[in-house]
This record gives sequence, C-alpha cells and structure tokens, in this order.
Amino acid sequence: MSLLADLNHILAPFDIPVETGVFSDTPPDEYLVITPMSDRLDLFADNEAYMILSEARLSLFTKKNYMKRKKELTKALQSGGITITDRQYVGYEHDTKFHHYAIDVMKEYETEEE
Amino acid sequence: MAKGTMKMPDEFLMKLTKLGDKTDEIVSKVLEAGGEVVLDKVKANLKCVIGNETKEKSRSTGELVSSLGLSPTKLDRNGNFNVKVGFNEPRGDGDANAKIANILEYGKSGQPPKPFLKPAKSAARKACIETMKSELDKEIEKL
Repeated sequence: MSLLADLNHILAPFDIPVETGVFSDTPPDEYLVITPMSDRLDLFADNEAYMILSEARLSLFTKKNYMKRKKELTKALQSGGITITDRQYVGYEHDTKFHHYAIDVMKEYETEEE
Repeated sequence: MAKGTMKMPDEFLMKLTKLGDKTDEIVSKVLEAGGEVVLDKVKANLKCVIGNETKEKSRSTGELVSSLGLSPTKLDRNGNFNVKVGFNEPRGDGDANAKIANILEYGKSGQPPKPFLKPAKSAARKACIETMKSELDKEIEKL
C-alpha cells in the first residue's frame, strides 16, 4: 500500500470530491486536494532501508462551515492508522469565498510492502 | 569508621566552570550551525518550486529566495534559545514575502500547493541534529 492509496480508501466514504495534486474540474462548494510532500527512506540496517516515511498534505476547501468536516476527517484519518502531524486553518479566500483548511499526514511503511 | 573522599580532577572541574560561563556563546554557535543546515534545505526546496508548473510564464524576480535567511539567536519567553528560518520584509513591490511564501506552501483554490517548508523540516531534521551535536563536541573540546 502507499499513502495515496490509503488516503483515497479512507476518504472514499465521504461525499466529497478528492483529487491528487490539482483539482482539474470546476470546483464544487467543497473539495479536497491531496499533495504528496515527501517519501523518505528510513530505519537503515546492513546498508538497506527498512521503512518508508510518506507525508502528504490534505487541503480542504469549503464554502460551508469547515469545523464539522475537519472533525470527521481527523477521526477517519486517525482510525485509518494515519498520523496527523499538523492541522491549520490557512484562511478565508475573499475572492473565491472558500475556507481553506490544511491537514498534514504521515504514515510509515515497511519497504517490503512496496 | 573508615572514611573515603573522592575528588573530581581539577582539569575537569575547570572545564565544567568554563562550560557554565560560556553556555550562551556555545548554544548560539550550535543553534546557528543547525539553522544553516535547515536554511540550505529550505532554500533548495524553494528554488525548485518557484516558477514550477505555472499557468503563465513565471514572473519570479528572485526576491523571495534572496530574502530567505536565518535570524540571530534569541531568547524566547520560556527562556529557551532559538533561531528562526524566515523571510526578510518588506519586498520592493510592497507585498509581503511571508504572504507569498504561505500561498506557495499551502496553495489556494485553483492554485495547487507547492510545499517547500514542511518537507525541508522533515528532511533536514536528522542532519540538523547531527550537525548541532558535532558543533557542540567541537566547542567543548576547545574549552
């Protein structure tokens, strides 16, 4: 499994469009963008890496109240075994009328799982 | 009753005293050495994301990269020394470097994020700690 696959699996039950990298369609009133951030090798032994640390950023854009969605996403991510490394309200975009909320996530994988 | 007295070597005691006297100076040097490692990584990441996959031709002036720097060591309200990697203000065009950096880092609706700070923080963590440890050892050796 990979972090992107895990995130898509966790976010699938939510009635919210999710895309990776950039949202290509005309944006609805609420959507999520996943941005992969890092994919580092770690836990070295015998000149080999045994773990992969994957990090990504979930950007929630919503024209509604973001509090409920933030709590739902946090709960689902934690239940799905994802570590939340940061959560931040980025701001309200006056031009687009979107609230922007960012959730940074991380998960460790064994290299053999790839 | 038998009585034993143990004494620390004078040289060691002198070094401990010197270390106590020079703590502020040493901490500052160690933090700045670690900060430089993080700064290099942030700068490298920032150079990679600026002008990358822009909808229109990049109008980058290089001002954001050149304003990136390391603050001098300061004491915070909790009594801890720290250095910060950040941007000098203001820009020549009157805008804020921090605002532009924030939009690059987090994106906005219709503009994908291009994180450069968070990945730098994670990637430079170990190298930063190792550099600070070796700098501390060097400074202690000098005593």
